[in-house]
Amino acid sequence: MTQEKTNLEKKTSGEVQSEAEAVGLTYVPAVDIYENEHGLVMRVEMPGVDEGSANVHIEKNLLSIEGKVHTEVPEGYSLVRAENDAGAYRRAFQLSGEIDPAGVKAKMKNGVLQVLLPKREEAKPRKIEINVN
Amino acid sequence: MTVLLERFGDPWSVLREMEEMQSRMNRAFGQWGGPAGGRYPSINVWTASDGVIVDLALPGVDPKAVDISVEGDRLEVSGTREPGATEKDARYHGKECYEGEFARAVHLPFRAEAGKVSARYRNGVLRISVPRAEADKPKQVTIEVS
Repeated sequence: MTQEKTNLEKKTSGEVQSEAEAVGLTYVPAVDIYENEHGLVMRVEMPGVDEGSANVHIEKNLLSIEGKVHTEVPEGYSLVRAENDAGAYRRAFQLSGEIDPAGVKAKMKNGVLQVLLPKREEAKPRKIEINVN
Repeated sequence: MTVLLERFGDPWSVLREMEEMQSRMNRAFGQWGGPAGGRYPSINVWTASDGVIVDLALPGVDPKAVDISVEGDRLEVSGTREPGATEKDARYHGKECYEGEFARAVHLPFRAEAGKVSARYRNGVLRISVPRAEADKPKQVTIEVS
């Protein structure tokens, strides 16, 4: 039975010329989500993805996250163990109406994408003054 | 508790849910699941005649919290990961990122030049370059004919 080469192995041996050819696998990144008084904070782990290769997209309350993995293939070496193959991270979340899509911010550092999703003003907890007449 | 996230009910998201459930099960079943056998972090290993390069997927880690040790023909990387929220009033909706201690060991095909091991951390990937020990390199022996 022939062993198919992983996409990373193909890149190493020079069989694959362009990023487009090596479509690779789709990975589901590990995500931590927590809520504080301002809204949601999402921590998406995408090792091997730099700032320029990460995409955060919101359309009609659907938050889509994508990150392309760039592996610097060392010259003169051959791949003997590949637990991570070439490919892209992809994950999508449905946001509730309480999130203000216009206020969503994202930043990327050390392979971790942090997405801040603020709640709309009306959705934030508010203390209501009681009028006594 | 307010529900701020919902999931689609359409077929593509059902496939995605199954995918995610599979990877959660892989992580939960530890050594029986996934390409890394459930071990954290996952690694890629490249070899050449003069050295070995090991890539470890370790996003969001402080390089100071990682210990790299090389002895003979064994490379060991260990440390702790604390990806948690810093705020006290944080309420978690989902927690998938690995938290706690980790360790991976790689058996090298030669003895390493321990003093010349270098490591670089970029985009959450820790790349360790281990050169082969001079004494361990193959030597050509000339045959004397007398």
